[in-house]
Amino acid sequence: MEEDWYFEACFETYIPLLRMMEGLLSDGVPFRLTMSLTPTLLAMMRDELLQGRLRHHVAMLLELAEKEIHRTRAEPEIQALAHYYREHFRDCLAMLDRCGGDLSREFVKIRQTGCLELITCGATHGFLPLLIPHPEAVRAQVLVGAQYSAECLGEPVKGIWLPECGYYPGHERYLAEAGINFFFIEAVGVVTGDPRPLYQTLAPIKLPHFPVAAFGRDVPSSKQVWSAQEGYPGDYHYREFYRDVGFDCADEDYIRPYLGGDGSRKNLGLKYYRITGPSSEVSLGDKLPYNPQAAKQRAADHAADFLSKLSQTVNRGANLGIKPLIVAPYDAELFGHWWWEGVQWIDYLFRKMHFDQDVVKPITPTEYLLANHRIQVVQPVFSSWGYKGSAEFWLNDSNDYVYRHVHMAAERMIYLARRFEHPTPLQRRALNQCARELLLVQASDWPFILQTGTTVQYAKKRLSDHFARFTGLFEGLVHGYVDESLLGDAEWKDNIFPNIDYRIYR
Amino acid sequence: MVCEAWEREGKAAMTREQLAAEKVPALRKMAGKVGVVGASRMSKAELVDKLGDAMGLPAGREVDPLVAELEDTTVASLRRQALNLGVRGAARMNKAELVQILSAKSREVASAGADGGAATSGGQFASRKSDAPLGLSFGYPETYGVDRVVLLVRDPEYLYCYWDLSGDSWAWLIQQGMTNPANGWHRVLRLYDVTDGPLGTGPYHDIELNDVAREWYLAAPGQDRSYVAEFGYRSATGEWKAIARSNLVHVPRNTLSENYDVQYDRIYAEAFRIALGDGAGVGDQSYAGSRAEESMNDRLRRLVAESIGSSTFAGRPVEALKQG
Repeated sequence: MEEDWYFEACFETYIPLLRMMEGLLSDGVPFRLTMSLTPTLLAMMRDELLQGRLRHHVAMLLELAEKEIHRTRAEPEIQALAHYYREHFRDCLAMLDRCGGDLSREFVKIRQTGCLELITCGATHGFLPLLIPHPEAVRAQVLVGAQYSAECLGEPVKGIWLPECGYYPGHERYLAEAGINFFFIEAVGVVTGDPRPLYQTLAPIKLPHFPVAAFGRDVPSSKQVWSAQEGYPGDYHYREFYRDVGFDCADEDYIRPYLGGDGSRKNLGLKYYRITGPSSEVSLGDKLPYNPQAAKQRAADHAADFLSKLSQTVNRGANLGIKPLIVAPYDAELFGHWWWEGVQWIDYLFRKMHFDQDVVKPITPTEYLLANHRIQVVQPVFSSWGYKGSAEFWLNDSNDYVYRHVHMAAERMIYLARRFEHPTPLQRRALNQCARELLLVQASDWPFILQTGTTVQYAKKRLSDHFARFTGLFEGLVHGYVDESLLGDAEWKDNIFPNIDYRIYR
Repeated sequence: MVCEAWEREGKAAMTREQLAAEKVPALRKMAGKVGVVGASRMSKAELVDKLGDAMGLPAGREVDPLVAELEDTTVASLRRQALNLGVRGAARMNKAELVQILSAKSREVASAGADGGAATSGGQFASRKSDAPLGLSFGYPETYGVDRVVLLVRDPEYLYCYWDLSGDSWAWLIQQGMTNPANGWHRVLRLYDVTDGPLGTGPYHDIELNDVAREWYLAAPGQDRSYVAEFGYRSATGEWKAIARSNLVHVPRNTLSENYDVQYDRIYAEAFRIALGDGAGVGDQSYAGSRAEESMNDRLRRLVAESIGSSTFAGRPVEALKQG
């Protein structure tokens, strides 16, 4: 299942984004984009087993698209879309072949043009403000993440996307230690900072005592894109996410080879319908066929609208006597995966920015900081980009029980790291594996899934598996024996961060 | 279950202890069958009493004070105490068995001359609930057998707190009679404001806890303040026995800062290469802000309202704090 999520993200988001950036570059559009490639995503992109499966998956979808062209011959509108998807999957395969299966290499290539800045994230996307009882655990999330990103991307990263934008005062210490010079922060975290920031989110702030800057999120521009009701992605011409041939196709025998091993229905990425109208009026079954040309036109319109709103903000900032900086961060998977036309929207946005106006100019955070701007020194407050800007989404009735175990695992890890000064090679392997399992139980995905209520069993299973492996190895180490088969099994299943060193928890 | 057993085998197979080991809904159902009225408003003790009378069960035996005390305690609490003392299979025991084992254990501890302090656990990492082969499954342990209390900040209004107790502490508490509310001791979470000075110099806030809670959402007494919690027992005369102390947390400001100082700096190009130097002392403690405004700022409220998210906070005992 997790593999399916990854495949969808690749052929709906990452490959389209790469193709978009290549298109902009070949047309001489000087775009600027900052992307966090999380360590876990990098690990998946670099995993050879997954690379093979991804290629196989896309090839299979291409085959399906070809069959679909035949199956839908009686409906010209739908058949045109089958052609459209065949083209799409061909492009995806071409991209995979070009980068030898490792998409992270393509991102590195584009970074070299200076248009794309790559930043890191917490090692396993642990929500740091809820790990505070053990500073060592927070530090390891940051340091392991930054080290692994540098390893994968070939040079150190200068910025971090704090998991869920979760900042807690004092964590800048670990960012500085990891050589990270900037992070992003929710608007409320800056605005209530101390002293009161002069420009709110229109300029970054610098934290006291450390060479670390924080870029506050611009709320209106986030909202404009995020909200499915008021924002762009809900436009009736855009593609309907929930009408997928994987669910719609009535011919069981025909579709079965493309579904999971157990024949259960799942998204395959061939979606033939558009949103059409408000969900209260148009049921899923009554949707009209998707028209890529009309949708593209809407994406262009929305890009123009967004640009005009950015210009207004810039003009407002000019009254404050500064060149305002607008920070608009989004989940990468919003573009392409959830909002199919989102990638085209970014494409149009940069083209219009370059050709049609000279008020708004794109910039990366490092470019801004290197330009040696004076930055106001402000101490921001604890915040996240979740509900109410707080930790509530990850800490409530549905998931709070997890934390006592997550914290205990961290405490045990710290104990192990201090106790084993000179481990045997086998002990060292077990200690490093404990560190991996600890990082994996800290992922904010688990409390997130428990809260949203979908695929809860999966989250519970993953949590309990990682806890079991951690606890098994921990008890083995403490009682003087290490179960080698358990260790081997854990190393094989959770093989992330091959070069991790457990002493990071000292 | 009791219901069926009684119907099947009559009162010969039944004791008040067995009744006491049943869940309240089962007892209420039973009350309906044997004609006890007003059962829905009765406490469990009353229910057992009335049911016992109505069913003609013999009255309980004469017992020593320690046992009586334990019998006054809820089954859940007894079970937890037993687990804390490392009693195997406590989850499947009924109340009578629990009382018997706990009183024996408690005497054992007392005669071993426990030194009476809130000692830390020797078997710190000893607890594992299941004997399943390692790596196959993980049962979340009820307790880790360590004295601890942990604070987390959820948002500017609420803190989340959980705690755990070692077997030694439990034994000591039982031996001292502190687990029995009749002795005037209350289980309390004491929240110290440590913004302006070390623990004990500032105000504190007591939250009285019930026997079964293992965690609590508590209203933050103030914003832009730092807190440390202690878990412990407070006597009727105000005597305080702390068992564990928490980490320090800082509750964020939810208003605009009144500090208008403007100071600039740059992230110098060199800084992009500078490793972390020593002596730059920002930690949780030195993060002290200025006074916050009394009223919520409108823009701020809008900002928060506009933050994306879709969760709602489902109720949990959230207690308004009394001034300590």
